Amino acid sequence: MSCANVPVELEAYADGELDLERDIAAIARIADHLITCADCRAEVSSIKQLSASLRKHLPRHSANDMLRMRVHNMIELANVPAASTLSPAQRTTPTTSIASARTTGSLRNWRTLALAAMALFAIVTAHDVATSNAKRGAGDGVNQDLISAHIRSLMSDHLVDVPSSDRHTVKPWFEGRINFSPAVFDFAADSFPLAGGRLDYATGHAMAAVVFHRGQHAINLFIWPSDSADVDVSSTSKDGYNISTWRRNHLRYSAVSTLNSGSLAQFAALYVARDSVTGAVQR
Amino acid sequence: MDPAEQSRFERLVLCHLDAAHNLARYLTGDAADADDVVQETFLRALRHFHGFAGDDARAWLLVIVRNTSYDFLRKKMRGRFVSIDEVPDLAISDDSHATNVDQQLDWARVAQAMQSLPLEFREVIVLREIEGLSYAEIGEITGIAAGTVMSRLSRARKRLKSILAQKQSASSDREAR
Repeated sequence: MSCANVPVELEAYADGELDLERDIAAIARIADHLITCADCRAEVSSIKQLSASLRKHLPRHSANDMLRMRVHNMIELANVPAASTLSPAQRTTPTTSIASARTTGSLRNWRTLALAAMALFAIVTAHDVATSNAKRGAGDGVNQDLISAHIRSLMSDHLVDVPSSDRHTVKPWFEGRINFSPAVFDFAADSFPLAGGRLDYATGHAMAAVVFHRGQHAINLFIWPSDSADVDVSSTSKDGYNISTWRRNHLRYSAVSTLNSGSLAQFAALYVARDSVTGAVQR
Repeated sequence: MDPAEQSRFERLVLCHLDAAHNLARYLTGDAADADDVVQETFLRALRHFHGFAGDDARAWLLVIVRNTSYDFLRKKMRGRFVSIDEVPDLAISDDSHATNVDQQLDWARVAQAMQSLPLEFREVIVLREIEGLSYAEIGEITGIAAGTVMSRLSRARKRLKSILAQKQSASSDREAR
């Protein structure tokens, strides 16, 4: 930039932050300047370009399941009259700053509090599930059940029975434990690395749960037998959880995660594509 | 907190959990620290919610995230906390503004460059480019005037551009070899 008279508000002009009425004088001044100054024109386009590039590339770190649950619990606890449920020592914990909580015994109290909160949350969730299942249609009930299974897997610290990123370990593990053979793939190259497998039970079915990671998000892919014909991927969301569901070769697949719906749909599409290539060969 | 207040909190504040986490993640630069900061933020938010009468709950929550992050970092860094007023602007080479930054960037490199920015630059970039906030909103959260937001954003972008340009030329040097 070699222009010696760069207008003061050039950045705001490039950002579209100048107001047509309030800043009309500045806009006119800059417009005049830009007609004759190639340097400043280049600068405006450079600012816009960088801004667009950052918007495209900078990752937005959303909260993971565990944190989401902790915050939920905190709000639930705030609803309970503090004096009746917590000892004075526990009650002082939340006011202690995090840095000192890490280095003192109050961390233990905090953990106790968190565990109590989780138990409460589990009860509340179970109750919600029970009532909502009674109220809602079958499809909604299935999704709610799957979300509960997803939350349960994260809460109990029991995400996988067979921790492995090798699909040749995970797939055989299911044989003999369930009476169907789920397709298991690893998408590490597409940033969905396989984390392992687990048996689960939801909506009245024994299920294979294949677990993947995307950043800090866990994806539970529930697989169970279905009599229906093949159905393409459809996506829905509920209470901050996204679900992508499809049916193939008499199996139903439901991927559940707090991962954003676009990425989860991408995951589902990858799975279906891989399944139609390799699945045909295997079967 | 009574149930009505609780549902008001969920409706107004909880929906900004991701924005809160994102800002904490960029300010602390660490996933576990960000989780701690967000928990502390929500404790503070719950405690002070009765005093919230404004209409911009996101800005209100992000102010708390910012304060909590700065408190946390001050304790963690113990004096290694440098204000941007002490950080000299890098000399910008003449061709840096002509570099097409977009072409060869991947998010990992941009994220790395972000972490090397001073905090007060990083936060205006996060608020502007990820959260899409106006100068006025950013000013409300960071406690500076809109004009200062503009100059800070300008300095932050120049610095980021220069870091990315350096990395870019370094990597193309490597490829040339």
